[in-house]
Amino acid sequence: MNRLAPRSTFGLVILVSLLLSCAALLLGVALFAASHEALEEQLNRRIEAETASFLRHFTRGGAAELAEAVTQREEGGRVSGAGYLLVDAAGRKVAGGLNAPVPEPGWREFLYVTRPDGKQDVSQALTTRLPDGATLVVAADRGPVDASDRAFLTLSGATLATMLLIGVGSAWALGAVVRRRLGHINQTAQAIIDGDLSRRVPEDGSLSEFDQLSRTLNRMLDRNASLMETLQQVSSDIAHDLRTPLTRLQQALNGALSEDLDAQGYRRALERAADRSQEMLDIFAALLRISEIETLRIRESFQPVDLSEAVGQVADAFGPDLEASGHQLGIGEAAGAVVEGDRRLLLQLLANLVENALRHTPPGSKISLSLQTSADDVILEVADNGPGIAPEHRDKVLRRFTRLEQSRSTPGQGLGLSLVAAIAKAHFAELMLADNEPGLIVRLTFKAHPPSGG
Amino acid sequence: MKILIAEDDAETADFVRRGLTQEGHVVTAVKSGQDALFRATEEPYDALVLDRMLPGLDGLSVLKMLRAGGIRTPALMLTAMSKIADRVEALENGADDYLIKPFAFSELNARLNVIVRRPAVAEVETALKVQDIELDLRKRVVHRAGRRIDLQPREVLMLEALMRNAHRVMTRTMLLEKVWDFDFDPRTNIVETHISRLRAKLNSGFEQDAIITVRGAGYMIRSE
Repeated sequence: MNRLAPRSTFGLVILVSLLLSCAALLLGVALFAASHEALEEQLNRRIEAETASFLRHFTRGGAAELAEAVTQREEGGRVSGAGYLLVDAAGRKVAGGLNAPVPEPGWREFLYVTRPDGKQDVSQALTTRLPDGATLVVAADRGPVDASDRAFLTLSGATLATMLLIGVGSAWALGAVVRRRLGHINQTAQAIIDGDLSRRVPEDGSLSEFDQLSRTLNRMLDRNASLMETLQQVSSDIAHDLRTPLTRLQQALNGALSEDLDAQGYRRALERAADRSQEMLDIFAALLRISEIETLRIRESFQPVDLSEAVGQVADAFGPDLEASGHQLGIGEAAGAVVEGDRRLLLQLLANLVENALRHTPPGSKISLSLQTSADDVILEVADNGPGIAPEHRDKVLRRFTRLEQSRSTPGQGLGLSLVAAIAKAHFAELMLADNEPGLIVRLTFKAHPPSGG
Repeated sequence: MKILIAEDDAETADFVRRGLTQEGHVVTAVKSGQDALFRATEEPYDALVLDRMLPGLDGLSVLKMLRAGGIRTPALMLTAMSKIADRVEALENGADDYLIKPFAFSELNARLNVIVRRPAVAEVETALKVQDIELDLRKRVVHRAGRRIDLQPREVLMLEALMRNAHRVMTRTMLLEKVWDFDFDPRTNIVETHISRLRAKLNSGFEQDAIITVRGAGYMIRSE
């Protein structure tokens, strides 16, 4: 990184306005030179034309006619700002009122002429030596050139000054605006660092870049907050939910220790203890699996999966169990419903949903699995006509460890639906719980063409 | 059998070693990947139990090197990670099976028995026969003592898994994997339910139970 490059908005705008001023200055200099040259050139041509006309008089009538012409031209006063001087070979003035020393023959850019009032003018002059030794000086006042130059310089100066003023002004204004807007963000960030996690960057509702940045930052902060909340909730839930089996494990062990049991009794106590620890291991396994899926790395190994086949497989696996518990299973299949995904995870998702329905509905309930395909998506529905889930609890049950009061008595860890939610998310599928009137309907909408890449 | 265990966690190593010794096997336990590689190249073993995470050379690399060196000793990979990709990676790198920690000893034992007797080349078979049960692999038809038994395709698959592993126990998780491709354990008793259906169909009209339930371990087809 170049250490000289300005890092603040103020510095940047100043730099830009300086560059612009330089460009304007260069342009001014070029214009000035061009117009100055053009005016001088114009003077030169006038002088040359007059000199040529005097020389014609000289050729025609000699020194006398030339002197006559000079006098006439001067008196006629036809050309303003012009002055003439004719001296003979001895240096004596013959004609003309130009009050200046006679220069060497040739062009003279600055010839100082004394005006009758004593002031000095600057003229441009062409001095010509005539064949008889006399010298003719034709001069033109440089006044217009100088006036134009002065006007140009004044104007340029004013423009440059204005430009610099605008540059510095806008640098200051822009800097102030940027500082103020960034200041809000900075303050918010500082407040969050200091612990006020609910602080958000103020939004003004405009669609400016700053407002867009504020919105994006706020969305990011919301997401972080919800992740943190989930993390806090999960940590406390893990602690809470592991305490139950741990307590039971301890009870089983303490009970066995305090009682005087025979070998058979000890065996039973050990078996109970083993069951309790298995329960805890199951919870950990489920949690690890959810977090693994949530990293979304599994997307790298996605392949086309025939959902119709998976539905058939799960229906086949659970069919006897469903029948045994007096449930009815209905399948509405669409053949060839293919989605991009992980076959085993999709099987687990289906299995979890079916098990969930099986566990939370009374015998005799109807559970149905159906697939619908369209050009854009594949919709998988697992529905039952059991007690359903009240609308206000539907979001909650997708969270880890949530077990509704009504299902406290049924076995489970409250992780089944969070696993379903995690698998659905990894598959870019939209998960929705709705009322089946009566019962619960779990609808998963897979995109037929999910975004590619991980 | 001579079995080599490479496991750096002393407690797990001891747990596996004791169990296998009790089963009548001769067990060598090493703690590092280098030792495992050295032992497995120097001596012929019947099976390897390799932990995936080992100090120095990890289990996967050991296995890769052994396979590259032409040593085809059946290997069971152990891992503490339940990463979905790890399983595929282990199987692709020459592991014959894969077991996630923590595991029950009976599960390890059953899986070891299966991989050790796994035929080195795919057998070209058209039928399986265990005692009086016959399975036509092409027509997917089952006969017991010459009598046709009507089975669902999935039940034939389950019977096939049991028959291919006659004399060996098939655990619930092995059956879930083989029959339904489930790499998770459902909370419902789907294996038990399906086994009892299969058993009922196979046994109807016969005295002897065709399927043996091994308590706390799994199921076996009756082979004697």
